[in-house]
Amino acid sequence: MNRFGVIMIALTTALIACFCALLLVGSVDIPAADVVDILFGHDVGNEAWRFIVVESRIPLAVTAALSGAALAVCGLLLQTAFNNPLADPSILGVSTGSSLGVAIVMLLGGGALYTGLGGYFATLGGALVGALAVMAILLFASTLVKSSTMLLIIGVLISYLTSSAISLLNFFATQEGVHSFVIWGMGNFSAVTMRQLPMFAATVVVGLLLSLMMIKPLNALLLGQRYAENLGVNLRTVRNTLLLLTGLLTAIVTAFCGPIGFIGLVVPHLARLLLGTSDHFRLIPATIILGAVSATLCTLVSVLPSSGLIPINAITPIVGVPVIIYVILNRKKIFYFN
Amino acid sequence: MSAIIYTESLSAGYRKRKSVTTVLHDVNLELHVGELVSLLGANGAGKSTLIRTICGLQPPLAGKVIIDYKDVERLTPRQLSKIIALVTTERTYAGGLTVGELVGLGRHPHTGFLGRLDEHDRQIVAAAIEKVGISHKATSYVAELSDGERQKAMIAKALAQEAPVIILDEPTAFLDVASRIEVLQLLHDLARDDRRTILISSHDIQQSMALSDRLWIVSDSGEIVSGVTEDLILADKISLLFNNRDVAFDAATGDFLTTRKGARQITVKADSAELYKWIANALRRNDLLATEADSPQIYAHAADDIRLNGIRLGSIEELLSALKDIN
Repeated sequence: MNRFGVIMIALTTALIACFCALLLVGSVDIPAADVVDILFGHDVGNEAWRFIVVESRIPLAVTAALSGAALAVCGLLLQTAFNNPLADPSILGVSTGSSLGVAIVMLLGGGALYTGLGGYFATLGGALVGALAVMAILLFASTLVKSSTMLLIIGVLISYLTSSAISLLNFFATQEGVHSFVIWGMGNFSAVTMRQLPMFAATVVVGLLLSLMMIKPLNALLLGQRYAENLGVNLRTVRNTLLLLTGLLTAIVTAFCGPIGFIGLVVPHLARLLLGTSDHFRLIPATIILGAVSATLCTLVSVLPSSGLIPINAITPIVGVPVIIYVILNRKKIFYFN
Repeated sequence: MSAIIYTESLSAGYRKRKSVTTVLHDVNLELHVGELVSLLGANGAGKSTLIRTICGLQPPLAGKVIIDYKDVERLTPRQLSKIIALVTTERTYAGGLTVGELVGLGRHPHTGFLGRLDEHDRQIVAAAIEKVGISHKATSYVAELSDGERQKAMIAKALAQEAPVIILDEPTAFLDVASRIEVLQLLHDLARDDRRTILISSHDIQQSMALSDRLWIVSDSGEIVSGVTEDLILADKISLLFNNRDVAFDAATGDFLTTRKGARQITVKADSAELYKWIANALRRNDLLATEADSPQIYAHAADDIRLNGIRLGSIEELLSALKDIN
């Protein structure tokens, strides 16, 4: 079997293991046998346990896996589209744009976040508009500045601007609003309820499937824009699709889980290093699974203490920063930089 | 002979809101099947602009580019990609692909939704890599290639595209001399043996003169003269490249000389053309213009037997110092 097959099997196994661990581990000790019984719909005579597993652990595990996959794919799409190895939704300000959208909806809706289908679409809409606005600014800026470093700096600056707008909104918001916003901003995969889960999962899965459609143009873009165009890629269509796709995926994850850092940045690099290729036909599936593994692993760490959840954004940098520093220090030796 | 690409009163340049910058105007050119054409011109003369316009990557300001009897503006990117294959010096980010995968990208216009290659595609890719002579690198990462090999891989990509026309924008710009000659010879062979039509923009005038069937010369004023290489040389059109500069082209030797005022003449005769050329070269560097004569001031029999006014000198070094003493 080739390298790709071996790695995909290993990653899928790891994902299943992490996913199961998330169902078994938590602040309340529930025996593994009972968890299995609950999953198969048997009555274990403990309604609280059933509630914890069905209403809390299952949504948490599914949300973590899907969010990780979505963010990782967004990072990969952005890195290739901007030809910039340090691009990802949070660094380029797309996540912050989503946050601003959510903050505005929160304030205008008077704290109606996460309630009912209307609230779902309002939150998602706000996040989507915010994310797409930032993506549009970035795409426009990328036609003006050729240097990818400059583009990154523009992304960081957009982040600052949107952050300051969010701070202003917070200043005028109620105490409770600020509190919930701060908690939300720390990142947390437990905010999607069982009732919202189908909608959330469907949106993310559609986004992930759409990303598979981008394999061919993304590979062409490895040669730069003029070569890609000469290979028959319609640059405008591809750019707009990428804009919508990364905007949508970032928006839905950010709307529910807060701006999650580093997964989008780190996972594509890990996938490239593992597979030893920049070919998106292999890279996108691997990035999806590896993104899910990373997010479930981080979530597993976050549920270990018995006193509650550690915010995800406190964990991702601990894993992410060393990887990025390794990549930066070794960029002369790493094949895909040259 | 049939022209696969021709332009009709083409004006090329840039339009930015209301201001229009015309770089080239009223250009009428033809590209014939199986010919290697070199596009020559000073930096900023508009070579890249012309190439982008012909490739349909930017719209003409006026006039038309006709490719395969169709207006280039009416062709979709996919249709165009089957007619013209492009090679540029644009930076690529394909270091993480193998040479085979990179060349495989050239099959994009012919492959399906996911861009997977079938057996037929793979044969074409292998043949393209073979043709440019880097088969031994087929499974290496692009990152591991030298500049010359990388450019050959890009040419293989263009071959795999199976387009009748290959357009190269300064394909040898960053290459060392040996790779430069190899790449141009390769392109020449492709035109000759495979009947590909090849347009190269280049700074390498001497190589272009040696290997191109035709030249397109862009003057500073934005006009283009075209013709069979030797016709243009003999009509002194090469000098259009050096308008108002202190450089001249010597059609007799194919050399480029700086024209400097106040050079004194000196008569020279040599037993071999080689000897004459390099003595003249040394003299020119010292502000002396060699002219041939039957009873010369300098008569060279061999590199170590040069007579200056009858006095025997053992090398060009001695000749030059003797000349200095005379002055």
